[in-house]
Formats: sequence, C-alpha cells, structure tokens
Amino acid sequence: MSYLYLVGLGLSKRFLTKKAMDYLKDSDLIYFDTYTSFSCDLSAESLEELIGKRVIPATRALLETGFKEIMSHLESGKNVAIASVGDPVIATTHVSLAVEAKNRGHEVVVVPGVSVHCYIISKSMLSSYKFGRSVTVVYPYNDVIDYAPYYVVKENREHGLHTIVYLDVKDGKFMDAREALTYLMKMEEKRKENVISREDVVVVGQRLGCDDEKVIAKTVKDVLEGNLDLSPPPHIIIIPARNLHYMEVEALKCLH
Amino acid sequence: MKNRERVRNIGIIAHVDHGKTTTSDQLLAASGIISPKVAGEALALDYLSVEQQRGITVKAANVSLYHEFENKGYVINLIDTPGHVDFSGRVTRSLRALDGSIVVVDAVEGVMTQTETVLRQSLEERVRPILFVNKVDRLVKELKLGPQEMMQKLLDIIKEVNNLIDMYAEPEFKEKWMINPTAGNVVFGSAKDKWGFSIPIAQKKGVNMKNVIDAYSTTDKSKIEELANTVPIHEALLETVIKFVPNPIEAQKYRIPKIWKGDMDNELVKSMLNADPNGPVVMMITDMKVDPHAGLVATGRVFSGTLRPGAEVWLVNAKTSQKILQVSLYMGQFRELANEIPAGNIAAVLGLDKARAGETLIDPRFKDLQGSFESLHYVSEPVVTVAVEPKNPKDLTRMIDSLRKLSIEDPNLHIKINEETGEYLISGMGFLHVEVSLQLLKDYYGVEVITSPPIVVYRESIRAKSQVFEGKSPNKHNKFYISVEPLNNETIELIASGTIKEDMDAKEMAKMLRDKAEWDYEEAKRIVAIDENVNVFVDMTSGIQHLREIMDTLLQGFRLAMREGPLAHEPVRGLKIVLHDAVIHEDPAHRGPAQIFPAVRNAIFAGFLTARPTLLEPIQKLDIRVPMDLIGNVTAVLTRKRGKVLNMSQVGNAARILAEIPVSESYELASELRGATGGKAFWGTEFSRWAPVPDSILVDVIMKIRERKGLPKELPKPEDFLS
Ligand SMILES: Nc1nc2c(ncn2[C@@H]2O[C@H](COP(=O)(O)OP(=O)(O)OP(=O)(O)O)[C@@H](O)[C@H]2O)c(=O)[nH]1
Ligand SMILES: [Mg+2]
Repeated sequence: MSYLYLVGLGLSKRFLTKKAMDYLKDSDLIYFDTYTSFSCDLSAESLEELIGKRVIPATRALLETGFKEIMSHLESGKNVAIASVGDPVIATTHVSLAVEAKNRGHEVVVVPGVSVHCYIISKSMLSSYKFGRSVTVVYPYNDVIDYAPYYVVKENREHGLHTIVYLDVKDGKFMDAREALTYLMKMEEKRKENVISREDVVVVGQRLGCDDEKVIAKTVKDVLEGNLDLSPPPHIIIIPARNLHYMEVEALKCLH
Repeated sequence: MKNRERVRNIGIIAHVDHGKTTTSDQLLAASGIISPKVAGEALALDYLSVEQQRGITVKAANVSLYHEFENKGYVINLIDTPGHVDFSGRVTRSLRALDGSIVVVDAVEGVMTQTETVLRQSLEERVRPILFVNKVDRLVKELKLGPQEMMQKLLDIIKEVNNLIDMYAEPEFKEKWMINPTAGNVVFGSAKDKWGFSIPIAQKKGVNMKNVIDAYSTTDKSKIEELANTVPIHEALLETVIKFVPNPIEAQKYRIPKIWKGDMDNELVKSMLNADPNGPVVMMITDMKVDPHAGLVATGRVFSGTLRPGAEVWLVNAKTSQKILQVSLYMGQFRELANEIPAGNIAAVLGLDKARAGETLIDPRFKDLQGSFESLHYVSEPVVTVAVEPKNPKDLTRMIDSLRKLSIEDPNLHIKINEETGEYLISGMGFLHVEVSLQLLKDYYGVEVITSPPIVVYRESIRAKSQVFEGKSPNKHNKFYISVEPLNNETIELIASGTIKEDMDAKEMAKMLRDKAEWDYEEAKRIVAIDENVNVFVDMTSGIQHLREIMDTLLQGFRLAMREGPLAHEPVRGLKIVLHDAVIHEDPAHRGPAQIFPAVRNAIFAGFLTARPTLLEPIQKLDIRVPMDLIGNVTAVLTRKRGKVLNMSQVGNAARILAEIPVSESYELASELRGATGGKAFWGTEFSRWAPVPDSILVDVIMKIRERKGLPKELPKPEDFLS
C-alpha cells in the first residue's frame, strides 16, 4: 500500500502551506500539474528549488491517459504526489485518480490549497452563502458556441445566486474578461432570455495571487468598451445575483 | 434573349480509344474560332460594346463552336468530358450541364463496357444521345467487309445501342430517343479521315457505302480526301446536333426535375424550369481550372437568371457567399468578357475561389433553401496512392503548388501530407488515374517527381453486431455507451449513390430506409450523421443532460474515428453506430474535444474489434475482348491474380470476358495481359465494389500496412480501448 497525495499549492509561492511542503517532501515521485491552472511564480523548476527534489512536469495527457503509469508507481510501493496550483480538487478532475487509487487499496490524502474559487469569493466580499453552480466560458469549437454558461447564469439568477465564471485556456492562450463577456452578450443577443445586460455590474479578478493582482466591480459595458485598465490574463468573473443584499451592494462599491 | 433557341450544349462520350479526342479535334479545327460578332448574333448578347479582352487558352474546359444551318447561325458549346474510365465521376458532372451527347462507338469494337456506362449516365441525366459510329474505315481496311456486311455490322451496333436506351431511358423518352438511321440521328464516319454522314445527308449529297469501300480500296489517298470534302465530319455531326439536341429552354423543362436535388416547390426551381433570365441566379459549376493569369476559373451552366459581374452568389456546398468578379463566354477556346450571361448558356466566372467542380451557385436570397445539383457526397473514392517528391529538391514549392492546382481541377484527385513523414501523397481512382495525373504534372507544370511504389487503399469494416461498450474520456468524467453493426448492402448503396444524404429531411430519409433497406422507422428517424465513408451514427438516447451541447463535438469525433480504423488506420466503411446512453460533465471546460473525441472513439473501436473485423479491398471490373483461341491465356492471368470470370460470350469471332480482379493485383495487369495474348486482348476497367479480403491473407495484409505506417506490430485488442 502506498500514498497518493493530491497537494494544493495555493496561487503562488506565498500561499504554500507548511502542510503542503511536508507532504511533498515525503513523496518519492512528484508530478506538477501544468495544465489546469496558472501561477505567476510556481513552476516545476521553482518547486524543485523550494523542496530540493526532482519535480516532473505532467501534461494533461500524462495525468489523464498516463493513469496507468501513476498507478504502477503506487503499486511498486512509491508514494506519489500530484501538485496543483490552487486546490487539487476544486475545478479540476483529479478525483478520478483518487478514486482509482483508493479502489486499488492505496491511501489518498487531499491537501487543500487556496484556489481562485475561494479567493475570488473572499475578495468580492459577496455573501458566500449565495453562490450557485460555477461554469466555464469556452472558446467556440468549429464555430459552435456552447451555451452552458448562459443557462447556468440564468438558473443561478432565477434563484438569486451569484455565478463564478471560469475562462477557457486554449493552446496556451487565456481567454480574458472582455472576450468572455463578449461571448455572453452574443448568447444574450441570440437567445434573448434576459440573463445579462450591459448595465449589470460584474466582478473581474485579474492575476489573482500575483503581486499585480486586481479585483474590480464594473458594469459589463465598462469592461467591454475597454476604457478600463485590465491586467493581462488570467481573469475570472463573478456575475452577481440580481437582488443583492444591501450589504453586498455596499461591498461591491468598495471595488469600484 | 429569344435567340437562346440557337444554343446547344453538348458533350462527347465514349469508351476509351474509340475516338473522342480525334472527334473533338475535328470539330474544333473545322469551325475554328468563332468571331465574337457572330457569336453575339447567335447569343443575342449585348456585350459587344464592352472592351474585348482575350482570355488565355488553358486545357479548355469548354469550347464554343459556330455552325450555320439552313441559313441560321448556331452556337454549340462543347463541354469537356474526361476520357479515361478512372475519372468517370466527372463524366456525370459534365453531363449534368449538357442537353445532348455524341456517343462515339468504334465500328470494329462495337459497344464496350464504358460505352454502356456513359450512355447509361447520359440517359440518367436526361441528356439526349446522338450516335457516332467512328472508324468505319477499319471495317474496310481491316475486316475487308463488303457493303452488305458493313451495313449489317452498323445495324448491329445501332441495335445494341438501342437495347441500352430501351433498358436505361425513362419511359417518356424511350421512343423518342431511339437511334433511327432513316431519321438521321446516327452518323457513320471516320474522325481520323474527316468524313462522315447520316442517311439523310448521304442521300442529299449522293454518297453511299460503296463510295466508302472504294475510297479505301485504292492506294490513291485523294479518294478519301474527296469524301472528306463532300461529306465533312464536322458538318454531319453539328447538323445532327442542331436538329436533334433540344435548345436549353426546351431542355430545362424536363431536365430540371431530374437533375435538381432538393426542394422542388419554389421560385428557384420554377425559374429554372423556364430558363428565366429574369429569375434568381442558379448555376452549376462543372469545372475549375487554374489559369496562370486570371487565377481560378469556374466554368458551368447557368440554369436560371442572368450572371453579372459584381453580383453576390451563395455557394451551396461551401456554405459561403462570394462575389463574381468577371463573367465571360467561351469563343472557340478563348474567353471573352461579357456584361451578362443569361440562363441556358455556359459561362466562365472569376472570383469564386471557394468553389470546386460540382458546386451549385444560387441567389443569396435563397440560401436557406435545401437543394443543389450535386452534394459533396458525390466525390468518388480514391483507391490508389503514391508518395511523391520532386526530382530536383529546389522544385518542392513548385510541386506543392502544382499539386494543389491539379487537385482543384480534378476533385477526384486527393492530395494529402503525411504529417509524420512529411511525404506528399496523391490518391486517385486507379493506377492509371494516378499515372495520368503525374504525367500532367510533368507536361503541364514541368515538375518531375520521384514516386514510391503505388499503395492500394483499403477500408476497414465488420461482419457482426457488437455488444454495447463503454467509452470513457481521458478525464473519466464523460462516458458513451455505444454498439456497432454492419450496415446492410441496401443502405450502403442508398448512401453511396447519394440517394440518402445527411442533410435531407429526417422523415423522408427514415421512410426510404424503411421501404428500401429494412430499417426500423423509429431508429432511422434518429440518424444524426452520415460520414463520407458511408458510416451512420444513430442517437437512441433521450433526455441525456448536456448531450445537445456536445453533439457537434461528438459527431466530429465520430467522423475523425472513421477516418482511421483500429486495424490498420485505413478508413472505416459501412458501420452503423448506435449511441445508447451517455454521461456528460456539466462544465464545458471538462467536456471539450480533447475529452469527447477519445471517448467516442474508444467505445466504437472496442465494439469494432469484437465484431468480426475485416479489411475491404477495392475490386475492379474488367471487360476483355480477345480472339477465341486465346481465352485460356487470359483466364490463366486472371486466376493467378485472384481474378474471377463473371461471364463469357461470343461477339463476332472474338470472346468477350467480363471479370473482376482486386485492384491490388492489377498493377502489372496491362503488361501481363498483353504478354499472354501477343497484344491481341483489348479491355476496359472500371471500379466495381469493395469486397472483404480473403481470410487466408487478412492478417498478412493488415500487418504489411501496419509495418508500412510504422504502427506497432501487434494487432490491437478491444481492451486497448477500455479502461
Ligand atoms: N482507323 C481509325 N482510327 C481512328 C479513327 N479515329 C480515331 N482513331 C484512332 O484511335 C485512337 C484513339 O483515338 P482518340 O481520339 O485518342 O480516342 P479517345 O476516345 O479520345 O481515347 P481516350 O481519350 O484515351 O479515351 C488513335 O490512335 C486515333 O488515331 C478513325 O476514324 N479511324
Ligand atoms: Mg482522348
């Protein structure tokens, strides 16, 4: 029996917990998940420096189709860590690895880290009780737009809930807030179900966890018209519920 | 534009070597280049005021001939129909733009397979055939027939042609289109020696078969010239065409219902039926040529409306609109700019670089209407591939450019880059097609290439029904439950012939499949995709969350999987793929193509490998004529090459052998047949069908392909696609 550690590193070096470091040091093999998230200063190399051990950059293909490789290491008695920027489980799909390892009789330890998800909730100062399902705006595939984000926001807003909107990464390019809102407005134009308007205030998080991070609350119109100074991506968006608590209204004003 | 009554749109069709090229050369030489003025009068076009600009002669897609008959001028558009049997897909396309065809038959060889094929195609497109029995000189010089025997021989050929017309023509045309020597819709002659006549012409000019026999029975060549002067071949053919081929206005009335595929009850179709020059534009592109000066030139038939430069048109197959930059008419072999070209004519158009041969152009106002002259499905299946590289490495860019041009001009020629090896692959419809294309590359573009040995293309298929298999995405969050089974022959036939198409009305498709191919109506209604290799995807699920959002990705994954099967990465053919159930991640980020593609593929391939998988090989039909005493020599060659004799009959003093042979065995066939018969065998070939590779050599064939492609040496197992 071996251990599989799913280790959350937080958003940047300064978020690394003692606990995360301990588990990494205890591992025989460390994979660094290079595809699910972005950090301004965490990489396989910088991690190697911090813990003084070899760190293997793991692409999506390795973590997904190389499944068997990871299992065979566990089988041969090695403890394996998979280190992810942010949190190892929130908004990624490593759960399947954990389940498989557990089924084969290994121990699985999840070490939570600060993820953009928690981070933006906190920074927005919106009520954490009122978040609905999150969703990703993805680049159209073959010119076909996936309307899921539109309907998730719709459903949440119908129930008075906020929506965290993640943005797609495609071939190393991050979608920025302007692109994402443009897609959402396009969906509104097509479906006309009154889900989002140019006057709505949205929260845009930029480069969260980095030294040049920004969190602002502005109207969709402001973001789209481009007279705002947005930091370069990655970005994340919150589309708040329509009927905000008066305290939330005040809180968002602080982000103007 | 009342003078469109003096336009004829025709083509020449024939079995290989029966004299198509010689005949068109005669027509061309004799009528020369018509002057725009003359053509203008005949076409009643007002472009004469425009500055006259001369086009450049390319391998002309079309030539316009001028002929006076009974004191009236006529313009005869002669559209190029390709010669070799391997290109026969293009024959149908050319025919669609024509109203009449000259069927050339060699007087000695008589009706051959390809004669039958092209005549059948002509009738199926409601193109009225005129018969030209060519090489009559051979009857005298080689067979030494007397007048009586000669007449008998010619009547035999006419009878054989009429049998075919009787067999393939639709009831309302049978009587009317029969070849009748007294009426004069058959010409006898020699294209090479430039003479020819129909019975009425012969009577008018006082010529008979006796004169023909005399002309060839002396060493005095002037007798033949005399004949050519009295009854010139071009006159006989053009007069016959003018008399028997309908003008475009008349022809479109009955041809449109046959050749337009799609909605019939609309303004577009109404206007085509009347060849209305004031209606919406509809045009069919029969040919794309790359002109060194003008760029891409699209040639085709205007069926409705009037073409004008500057107009936007909608390309039905390319699903895009483009602007017409220039329109021109053919004058002889040149193009002359025009202000407008009304329905019924053949036009050349610049500005349509998204179009390919077979494209349908329509007025953009009608772009949502379902219909075209030919859907993309039509493009035939290439079965032979060679890898090429330039002899001189410096020619690489030029070679790539020229190959691209060749494939634009010939949609049946496929050019592909092998991403791994960087090789350029050319695929065609047979060894000869590829050979001819390489010859063109050399003669026309001046690029010489080194080629790999030709490779025969296979298909992968199955012979049994599989259970339902679960295919998972790499992140394990998406699952598809899929089973596969072979499509029955009826279904394959309906799809391959383009009768059943992906974009047709679901109910109409379901009805047809139920009535003609034993499908369950409810299941047939759930067909959501048909790919280019004749595979069908059926969605039997209901109420699966998020399935709608990923359907396009899913079907794209299906299409990709079908391009490279699990056995040897050859295209898959003839599968029915049924989706029974699915689980799909709720967030778009976790159900993108990188997840969905492998998930569909895994389920399909796992099922595939358990369902008695096999390779299909292309089979060729052979139609051989050989002296009776050499039959044994021919059958010996065939047997050695896994060939099968289908039928044997006696024609005159020769045997006609119908046989089948795998394309993979046909590489050296020509030289071996010639060798075995001392050059006395004549034959034609044609693609016949896909057939399973015999089990005894199956594994061997698969392994050879895998080795060539650098694939692992073990056969894949179902488990490889499950996890
Ligand atoms: N004796 C005789 N030979 C002819 C006549 N017409 C054509 N030929 C010969 O027949 C051969 C084939 O003629 P083509 O005109 O090239 O035949 P084709 O039908 O265009 O052939 P493909 O393009 O290969 O299908 C040539 O050698 C011609 O010279 C004719 O009237 N009499
Ligand atoms: Mg020819």
